[in-house]
Amino acid sequence: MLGAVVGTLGLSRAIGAGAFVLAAVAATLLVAGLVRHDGGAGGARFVGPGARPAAAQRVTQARVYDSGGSAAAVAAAASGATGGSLTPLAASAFARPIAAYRAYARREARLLAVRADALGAALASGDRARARRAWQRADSAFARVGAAYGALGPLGAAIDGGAGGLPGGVRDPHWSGLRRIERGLWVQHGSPRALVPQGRALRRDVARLRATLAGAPIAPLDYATRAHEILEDVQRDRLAAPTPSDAGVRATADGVAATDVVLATLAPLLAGRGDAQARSRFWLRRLSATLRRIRAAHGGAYPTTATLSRRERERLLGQLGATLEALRGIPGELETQPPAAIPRIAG
Amino acid sequence: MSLDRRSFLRRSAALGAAGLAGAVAGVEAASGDDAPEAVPAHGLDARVAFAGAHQAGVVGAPSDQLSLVALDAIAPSAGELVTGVQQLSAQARLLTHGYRFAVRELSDPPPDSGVLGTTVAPDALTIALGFGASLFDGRYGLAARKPAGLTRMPRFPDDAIDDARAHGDLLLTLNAQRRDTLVHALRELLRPVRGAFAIRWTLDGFLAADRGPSPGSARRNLFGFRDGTANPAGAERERLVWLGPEAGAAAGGTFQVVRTIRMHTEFWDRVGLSEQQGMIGRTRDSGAPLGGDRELQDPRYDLDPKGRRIPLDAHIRLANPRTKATADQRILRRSFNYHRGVDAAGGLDQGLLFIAYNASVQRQFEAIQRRLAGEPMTDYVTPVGGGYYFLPRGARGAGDWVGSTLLAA
Repeated sequence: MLGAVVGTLGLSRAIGAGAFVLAAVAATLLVAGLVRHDGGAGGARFVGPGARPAAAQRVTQARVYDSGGSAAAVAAAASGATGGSLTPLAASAFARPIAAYRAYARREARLLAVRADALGAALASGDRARARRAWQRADSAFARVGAAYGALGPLGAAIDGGAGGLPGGVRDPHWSGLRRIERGLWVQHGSPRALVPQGRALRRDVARLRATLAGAPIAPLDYATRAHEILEDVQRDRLAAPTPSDAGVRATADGVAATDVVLATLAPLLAGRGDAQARSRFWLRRLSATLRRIRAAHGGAYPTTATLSRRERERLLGQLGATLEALRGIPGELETQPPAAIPRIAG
Repeated sequence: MSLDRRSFLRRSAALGAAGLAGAVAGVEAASGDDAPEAVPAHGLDARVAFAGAHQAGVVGAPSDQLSLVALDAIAPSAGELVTGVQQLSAQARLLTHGYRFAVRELSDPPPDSGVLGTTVAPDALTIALGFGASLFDGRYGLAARKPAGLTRMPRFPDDAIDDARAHGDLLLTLNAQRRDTLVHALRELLRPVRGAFAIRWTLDGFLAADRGPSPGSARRNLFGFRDGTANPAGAERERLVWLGPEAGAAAGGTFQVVRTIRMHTEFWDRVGLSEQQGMIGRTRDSGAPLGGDRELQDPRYDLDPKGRRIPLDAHIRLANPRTKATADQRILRRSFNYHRGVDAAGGLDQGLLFIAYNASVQRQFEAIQRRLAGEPMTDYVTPVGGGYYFLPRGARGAGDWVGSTLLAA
């Protein structure tokens, strides 16, 4: 498996005296000036200098080393480099994958509602260990909904509950949500009973989640980018700064699970369009195996990021980075329309 | 008189009447109104005047290396605080002028760290001194002297400000062409004032090299886009930056806004170019507004009311809509890039050291910041530090010190 991945990535070939092109297979077009909106009978097409017939167009990005050539020469080299052809997908092709994801997300939301109830009861019991376990299960369910990057708007922010933008930061009296309860259970020393109001607010917000998930429109492009944004979110919000609970490592596992679901729904669309899916699956599997090993090595529970050994931490973070680099190819392979031509400034 | 004060005076005497041999190429001209925004590389002997109606290092063309050093006052009395500020000002004057020193007492610690040898060349060094709102709290009886409009930087939506990287009673802005000049300057600045100030946070920045295509091209930030293209210039800049005589003791000063903005550069590098350009509103390579060819071209929003060319929520469009109503909200941006290692997730800790100068934070910077709330770029950046500071007018003559108009008894 890895051999195949490396084989396609390491592609390089001479294109002239001293010039080499490194082509990233099936990447989105990055060389300015190679895409035009051609309003002819054939509709939108990718065209470039020295263009071959549209059906055979290669869309790729390239770096030309030592060519001594102009920007135009670099662009010409890019158009000739090996790459996958892209036929824009019809937006309707996304209906089934999005519907499948929606059904999944609503199931997870139902699970979250049950777990938020359990968390409320655990907080009221005053038993910190029990409350922590209940919080971990609720946090996991929300992470698995896979609503990355503001997909749920203010409701998502209320459930998750970062304190950064609040006037008083972590001491702000209006702070609530999963992060607030996490801080209460791991950092603060008061009784979990003090968190009952936050638990109540969480249940109230979670109760609205399923309706929001059913109603929120999801555009094809947004859904395609979700394939990598779920784990981008994890990297940025759960791993870049230490979390007091297990949320860093466990959220990575939850993110992998949600990404697997999104990728599975997109599999029929991705078939035959490039290798982003194969590369993503390869790295997701490897990352999953690493997460399982970490869990086993820490007594069957996800550890905090602070207690990872150096080797564990480096593997986890490095493989997450590699997974994201693979996943970034997904949206490009799922384009429904070539980038619109930008009008010129008149006058 | 404290020990610190005494050793400072002795050092000053040892350094006194320094001055570099040979002709010193003045770059005061480069800080004038009509200076190009990019300074050509100068020799080590380039010097920017310390004294003047305004502090140096604000409107002048910036040099490539920057250090911000936020200090908290720990002086036990107002008198010692003022002495500390005077010492900082005197040290800054010396360092920006340059000096030679000789070691006379071999048994004593030398009067200078020697990091730059025995000839300390000015290297276009500027050291600006700013005061945070917290300096004017109850500790030193300065509340009545706080410049109108100076507040603690509030939290904006999507901020994740860490107080250990933000605010502070004083902020030193050091700018020079070479990093070792700054490292040396900071060491020498702090030696006499350890009993008066403690370092709260520091951050080093750098400017991208001038890679053209023209001398006026703005440098690139770490997203790969040019930053600072649409800065005000000439008389308009003077009006937007400096406080006028009506400001009383604050006249000739300016408000400095610092925002340490972490850029999630790896994530950004996974975003398609058209999406990147749509978020910014400019073409990455040339810096031209979308649909244009030249960096300095007017984006002509009037011809694009629906955002077909430049999205309505593009950064440049929200930041500066170029309307009559927003003209007096413009700010002078003097941003630098920073790189400070890796974060806990193994990601590169890189970003933008956003620095802006304006005559009114409320009318200018905050109005812009409110418009930018929730812009698409928000997902790729996290503001983690910074603060608001007031930079008083420059020192008058050899006997004056920066801050005398505000702090002198």
